[in-house]
Amino acid sequence: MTSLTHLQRLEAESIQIMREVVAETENPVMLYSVGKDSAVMLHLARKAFAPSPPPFPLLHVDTRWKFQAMYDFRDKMAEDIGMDLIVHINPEGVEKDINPFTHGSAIHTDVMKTEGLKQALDKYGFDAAFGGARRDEEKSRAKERVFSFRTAQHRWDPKNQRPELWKLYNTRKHPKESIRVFPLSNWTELDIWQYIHLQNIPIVPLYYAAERPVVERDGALIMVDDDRMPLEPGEVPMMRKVRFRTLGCYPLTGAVESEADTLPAIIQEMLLTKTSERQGRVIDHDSSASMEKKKQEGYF
Amino acid sequence: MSTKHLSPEVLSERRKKAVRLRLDGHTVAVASQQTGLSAPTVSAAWKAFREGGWAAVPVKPRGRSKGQGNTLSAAAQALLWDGLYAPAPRRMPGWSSAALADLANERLGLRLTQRAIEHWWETEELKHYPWALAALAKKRTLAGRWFDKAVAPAFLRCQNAEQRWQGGVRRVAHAHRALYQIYLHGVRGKLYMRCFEHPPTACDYQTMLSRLTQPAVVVFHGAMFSANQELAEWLASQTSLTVVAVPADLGLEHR
Amino acid sequence: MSHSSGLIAEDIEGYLKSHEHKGLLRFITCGSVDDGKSTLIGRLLFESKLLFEDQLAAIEADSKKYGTQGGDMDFALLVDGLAAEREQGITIDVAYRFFSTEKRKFIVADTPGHEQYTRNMVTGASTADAAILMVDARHGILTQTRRHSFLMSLMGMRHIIVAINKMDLVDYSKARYDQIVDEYRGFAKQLGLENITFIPMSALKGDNVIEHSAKMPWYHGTTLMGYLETVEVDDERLQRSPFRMPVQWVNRPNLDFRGFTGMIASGVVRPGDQIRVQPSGKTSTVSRIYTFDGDLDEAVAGQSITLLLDDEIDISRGDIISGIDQPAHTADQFETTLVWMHDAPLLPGRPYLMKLGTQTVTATVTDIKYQVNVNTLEHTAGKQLDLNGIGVCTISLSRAVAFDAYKDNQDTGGFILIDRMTNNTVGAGMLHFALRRSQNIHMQHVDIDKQARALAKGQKPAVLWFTGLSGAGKSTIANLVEKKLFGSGQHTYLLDGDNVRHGLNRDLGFTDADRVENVRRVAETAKLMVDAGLIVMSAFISPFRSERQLARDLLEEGEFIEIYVDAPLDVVEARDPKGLYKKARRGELKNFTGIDSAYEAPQAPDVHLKTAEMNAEEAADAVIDALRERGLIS
Repeated sequence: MTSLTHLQRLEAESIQIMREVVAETENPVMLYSVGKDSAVMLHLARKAFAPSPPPFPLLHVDTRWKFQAMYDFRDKMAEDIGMDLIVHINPEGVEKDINPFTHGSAIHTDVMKTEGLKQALDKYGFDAAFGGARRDEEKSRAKERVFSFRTAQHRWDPKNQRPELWKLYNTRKHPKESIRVFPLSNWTELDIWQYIHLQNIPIVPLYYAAERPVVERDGALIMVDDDRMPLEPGEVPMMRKVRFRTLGCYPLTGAVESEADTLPAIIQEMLLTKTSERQGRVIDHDSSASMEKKKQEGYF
Repeated sequence: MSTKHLSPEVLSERRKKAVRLRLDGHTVAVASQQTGLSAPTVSAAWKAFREGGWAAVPVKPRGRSKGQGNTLSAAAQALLWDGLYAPAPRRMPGWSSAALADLANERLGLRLTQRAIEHWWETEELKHYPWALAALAKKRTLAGRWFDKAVAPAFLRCQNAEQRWQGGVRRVAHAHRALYQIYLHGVRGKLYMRCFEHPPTACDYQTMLSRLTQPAVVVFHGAMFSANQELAEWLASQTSLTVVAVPADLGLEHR
Repeated sequence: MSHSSGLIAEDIEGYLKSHEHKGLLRFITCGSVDDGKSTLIGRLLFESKLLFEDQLAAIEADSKKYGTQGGDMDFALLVDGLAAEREQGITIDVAYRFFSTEKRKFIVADTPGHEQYTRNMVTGASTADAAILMVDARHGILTQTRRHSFLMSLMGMRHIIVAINKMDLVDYSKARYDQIVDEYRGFAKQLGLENITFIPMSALKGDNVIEHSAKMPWYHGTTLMGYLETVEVDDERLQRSPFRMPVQWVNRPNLDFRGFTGMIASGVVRPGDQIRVQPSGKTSTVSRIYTFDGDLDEAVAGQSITLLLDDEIDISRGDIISGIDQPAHTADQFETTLVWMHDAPLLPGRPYLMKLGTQTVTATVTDIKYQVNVNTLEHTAGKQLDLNGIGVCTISLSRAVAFDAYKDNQDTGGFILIDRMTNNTVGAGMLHFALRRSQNIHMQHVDIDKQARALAKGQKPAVLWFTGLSGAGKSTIANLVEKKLFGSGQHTYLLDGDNVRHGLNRDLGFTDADRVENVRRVAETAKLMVDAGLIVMSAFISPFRSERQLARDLLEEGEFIEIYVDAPLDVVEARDPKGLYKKARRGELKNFTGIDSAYEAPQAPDVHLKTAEMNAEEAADAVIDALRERGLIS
């Protein structure tokens, strides 16, 4: 008798979910955030549809403030895998030059990420979007379905979601409704790292510790990724050995001091340290139960 | 085969074994090989046995027991910390152990040796060991190539050892304090330092650098001077002061 | 048991290697807030030490604010979620928690225990390999315990743990424990539950959860964690079962590669194996088992693969590929057990969609043989199934499907029912066996009436009566409305001058009397169409109030929607799309509404479209919105 490991089972489940979406929706897309979860999700998509490249494009909703290393990595990945990469930037955001400094993280994220995503989905008429969210990321995600239905205005009504039994997913929807699909729902952070390690999945170098120019903002270490970062008078960034546990917009993502410059070291650090993944991201501090609020508003 | 770090108990056992082997008629070489002790040590143990019997063979534990070291008083430590966080004496780029000793003497009438202060530095994680820069010359490593390209030409302009400095800035993970440290090594690696509660500002760096007798070259790690316009401009204007930034992740080795 | 910091710190590579071969166990916890279920799960999460410190800090703070343990660490708080519920102190829905030990990764389905959440528990149980039934040692076996046990047996749960909790409150009494075990065993026999393990514990104090309890030396069985880490999952049985793979998607990157993708539901497959496709029955041989990581020599239940065959046979999504010797059966009528999951009750005779594996077919429940009372297990008769109702029913499908009995294979025997109008998942069911054609399956006696037809069409019939001056835009707007309704699957018909005046009403002119008769005929025709279940639009000037009222009176309350297409005379005259106003002005047309014949504007129309202020598209949208508001469309 052959035993399957937990990662093999998780992998098979995610592949099954992706194939269901492609079989039953008209115009799917995979949201690509360039982070480690996206990397795993992309790898799974390749496995699901091989030998063809996955039959949907990648969509990056770009806020214009990601780390440069992320942009470099993103472009290379798309090229290497041979998938169409759609980069969408909210044009109103550009016009008004929305940014985290002038407008604060709440508005910046709202306009560039939340509205940007809605715009992109409307513009290209995608009726299903893969996202890399996991149930263990945050309390409010524990009850999230694998298939999450959104209204034509991209709102999530907690009372309007469907029960998911066995491996059956009801994908039927009305015109203009769309589905968000989370193939990584049952993966934990540790599973993700283990899988990256075992499968040698390339990830953005920022996850690995290296000396980087950082400044301190409200107790968080923010990297000076380019010359748009406003510095205080007299401020001189320090080169410190840091890494990122989560990636987002660089002015909103805190680094941690670390020596972990290999994958096993990262995993080791992750297991021994005990601060939740999202702690690095400034957004979640804005209001309590903020993730749930954001989901109701259409932000993933 | 280093026996430097063996405990007295283990060392003593080995010495006794060496003596037993010699008694059996083995040579010093064989006894050395069997016990892992050096030949002189074997001979010394054998000599001790011949002169004093078995009781003379084991070694006495060396050094002070834990907790018996000469620690500085709370008042002295408080003063030293205050000093470190304050500007260094005029004309000095930072606090040396000598300068701190003078301070203790002035303010508290204490006679602290430089050595005592340097030990205290060690316990407080403030000590820094200089990098072996000269050894990088012509090496085929990344660090070696950087040295040849960026450091050597500057060193050519400053042939005198007193004109060559190395240093950096770092955050020290101290249990009770917010601690950022600028450290500098001058001639023969002499250590100067200054502590801050926040990352040092352009002004702090400028003050430190301007106190170096020019011409001078400073190999500096851990700060991105180029990001501060004023500092960058000031540096550019200093014709006899060259700052060479250590690239990220170069991995310099200490002496 | 948990991730040992020592190994992690010293030899991360060794640690990682040892965790590469963990298995996965999914289990469900059945119980209520009061019998310590949340405390138990919270403790399992806590003990596995994979909690993050800020979560711990938050829980400590919350234990003081919301906790039920007098400010002490309240493990239960770890497992409550959505903002709305925190204050209520009760969890709803199915929450999935994760933790792992050195032996296994665990997925916990946490569902409420109240009767009103039967559907949640059924949902959570559907993916679980084992179930923990919580019993409060003080109260013993309750109705709730019986209910949960019944549901677990219904769902085919193969491993049951009866966690007799709060032993600390009964002085760790062996007598009490034995009493409960005996009572349960007797009950479980009725249900046919096997593989039951009893564990006396205290989730609060930690007895027998992770560590063996010193307080119960008379208990020699396993701890809960010990059980969870070692219980055999269903792998062996599934792998020895016949090969089944429902086809999800056909992969044709080029002419040379035709792969059938899917997750193996049971059995084992190897290149060279002969297979049979159901329901067509065609056979072939497996040429390759393709995966991204290379071809496999063997694939087992639980793996997602791509099969390539020697022959070019017709296979599409929905088919099941089976081993040639033990193929799946096919049928179109079944006896099933249904669990109803929606507020709107199950209506026999009404068509739903059934999704079984990768097949989706139209299904009608032809008969509810009996309902089961979840608490007493009594059988009762019933004409419909309400929310959380469980009934044994016969189902008839629009075409034959391949299947296995649910007890043999949950993935080829378990199905969901979907409402065709709302798209909600309204029911879940288990196929037991197929019914032979000779057995009398008649549709339950249902009158074929307006309601039946409307149900069959999945819509509420109505008349949309557009009235207004000539050229106001009635036909244009009505056409747009029809297109929109058609686009969302409604069945409609448009009556206007074009299709009526030259046929049915060919004999009528434009005198007042003729106008009245015209409207009467159109109204009667519309009424017949409404009876047939259609949404009818009529676009006639219909100038007289009394005639429009006549039309309204022919229909039932809520079926007549009067839509006033309001354009002032000067506007329509300026438009004059057919040149009729000019002719009328010249005296060439007599009795022309607006010129020499009166138009009585509606005083209280159901929808008032001011076409001077909006374009046709906007007007049509306004009509659709009004229909939605009235609940005629969703």
